[in-house]
Amino acid sequence: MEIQERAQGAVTVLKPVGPLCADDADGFRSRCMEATARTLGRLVVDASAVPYADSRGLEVLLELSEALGQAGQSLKLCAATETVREALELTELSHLAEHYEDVPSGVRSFL
Amino acid sequence: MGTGKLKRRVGRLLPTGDSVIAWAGLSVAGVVLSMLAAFAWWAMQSHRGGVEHARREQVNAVASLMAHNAAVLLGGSDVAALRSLAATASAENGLTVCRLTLAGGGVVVSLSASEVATGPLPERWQHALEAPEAGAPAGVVRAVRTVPIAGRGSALLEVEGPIEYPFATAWEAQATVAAIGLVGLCVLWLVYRGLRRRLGALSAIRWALASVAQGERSGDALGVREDLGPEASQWNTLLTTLDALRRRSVEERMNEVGGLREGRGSDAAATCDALWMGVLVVDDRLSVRLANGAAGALLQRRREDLAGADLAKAVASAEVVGLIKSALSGDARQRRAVELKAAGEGGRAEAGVLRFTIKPMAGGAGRQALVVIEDVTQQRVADESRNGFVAAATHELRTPLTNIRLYIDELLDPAPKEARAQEAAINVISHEARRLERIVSDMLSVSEIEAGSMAMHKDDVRLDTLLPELEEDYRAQASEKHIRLTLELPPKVPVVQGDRDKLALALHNVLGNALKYTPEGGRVSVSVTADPKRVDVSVSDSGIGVSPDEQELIFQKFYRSKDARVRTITGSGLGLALAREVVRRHGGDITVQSQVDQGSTFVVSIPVGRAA
Repeated sequence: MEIQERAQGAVTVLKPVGPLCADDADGFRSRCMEATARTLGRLVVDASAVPYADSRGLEVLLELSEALGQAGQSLKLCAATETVREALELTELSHLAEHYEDVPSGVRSFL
Repeated sequence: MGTGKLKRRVGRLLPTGDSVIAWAGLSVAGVVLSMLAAFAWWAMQSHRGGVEHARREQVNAVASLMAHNAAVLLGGSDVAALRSLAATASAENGLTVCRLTLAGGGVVVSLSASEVATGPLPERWQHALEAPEAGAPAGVVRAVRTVPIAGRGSALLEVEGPIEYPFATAWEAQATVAAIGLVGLCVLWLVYRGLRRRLGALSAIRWALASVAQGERSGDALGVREDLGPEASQWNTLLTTLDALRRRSVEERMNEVGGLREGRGSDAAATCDALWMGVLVVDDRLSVRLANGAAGALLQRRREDLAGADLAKAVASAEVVGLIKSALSGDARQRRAVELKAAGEGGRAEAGVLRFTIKPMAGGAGRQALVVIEDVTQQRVADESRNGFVAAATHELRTPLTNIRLYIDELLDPAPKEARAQEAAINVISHEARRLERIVSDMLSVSEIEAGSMAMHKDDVRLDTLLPELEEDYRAQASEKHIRLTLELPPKVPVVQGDRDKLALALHNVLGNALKYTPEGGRVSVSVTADPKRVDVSVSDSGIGVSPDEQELIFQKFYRSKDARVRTITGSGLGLALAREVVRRHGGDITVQSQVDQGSTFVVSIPVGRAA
């Protein structure tokens, strides 16, 4: 899985490209945690290029949400595809992340 | 006066604490010394009685012996032998008087020669004797005997001897008594020391209890020396336990009242942990009493390490520590804030800008300080961006406005001018006015995007129509620079969903840049490739190119390349920034591949069938 990273202001935007499954999910989790520690939590996940996520992928999103939540922060998920959104809603995990229509909206939430 | 008051007054007169032991020791010492003195006096008196009795027995024995010998010797008229015997007995027995007086007068024998009557002993003399004189004076033993002399008369024998007390014997007895007393005092002193050591802890604890009754609560003030014994250790342990219980009680009360409790399981704790800004509560011992999760994340410490940690270890900034100390000391009563750059992990990079807001607050356990930590990095970046935008915009607007003003001044000059010069001036004014319009339009678009207020009118966008129009718009400009402008379209271009005007603006900026930075005689080509998911519009040129270091920077607002050739070309630095933002708003992106002096290729990727 390719994970693109770019800075928008002081916010780091991570864009995983491809399905969030199995081992790729663990790699994505590590990248997110590393970026969170580096930026004091100013992280936005651009999920526009994630076509779907399996159970491990959803579990990683849950773990990220809990890890950020312990520090009073939250997982900011931007432009999630319909499939990913439905998966989150069906597993009742949708509330674990803040959902934004696009990346700029997610970035503006840090203002 | 009540009974209780009387008891208290009497109680104050009584010794307490260590003085109890001292008083007891002194009392025992006094009794022992008194008994020793009484014993010594009794011993001395007994000794004196014995000496007197023995002397009296001695003098009586000498008197009896002398009386017997006097009766015999005087019966034979041997006075000289009697006198010799008296002298010898007196010398041997320490007599001071040894006198024999005949009835009717006449001393026959005496130690004093002047008393002895001269002349021969009478043949006969009377028997009646005068009454003996009164008793002997103090310190003298006296014995008196009547001596009947057969056929001649009676005589009176008087014997006296002083009582001599042996001084050495008395001194030894007193020294012995003194030694016994001294040994007794030493034993008493040792017993006193032992008791004092044993009871010292109890005395100290009693004083501590008296301090408690007067309101003292500090464990430091109420503690006693550990070397006083096991009771002291147990007392100190009790104080420590009580102090811990009191602190816990205060903490629980504070947490209940303030709604801030470290542990989980309560609404207050959950509220505190849900805060996205860090919260620290620091007590007057400069110890962190409470820290929520966000504080740990922002200070880059483990939350477990923060709770109970020293302030200096929790917060690295001396400035913040100083403000907290000021709040705790009462010098600062108002809220104070300071912004600091937080170092990244390992201190290598800058993690962000943190704002510390410190406010003193009253707590159950004394003065405390509330510290709120906020991550304001993005705000500061936005501020810097906004300030830079204003500065750059001012600069960009000033240049065309200056040109317009100069040429208007020239046109207003009443001096005669050639028609070509007037036409050139009007053309410059027109050009600069369009430039102003474009700059203002770009700035407004950027502002709208940054503010999130840019309206996107979703519609079908046919690139196979839009791109030829674009080519047509720029054909004249390309001809002026002798640039070969080509457009290659595939047989079928998918229709994309988005805002036609905004996409046109983005493509306009990309194509305009290509023509602007391509030297005369160069080429610019626009091509389109498509698949079911996206459409890529590639704009390639043979221009001056972009160095690798600047290939990302050119998409920032107002960024102008450091290439000297770029300085000669007018531009606002907004075109590519605006184009990328617009395309990203459509879910796509713009990428660039370029080599200096070889040319550049900008690829505008637009997803098919999706718009934000």
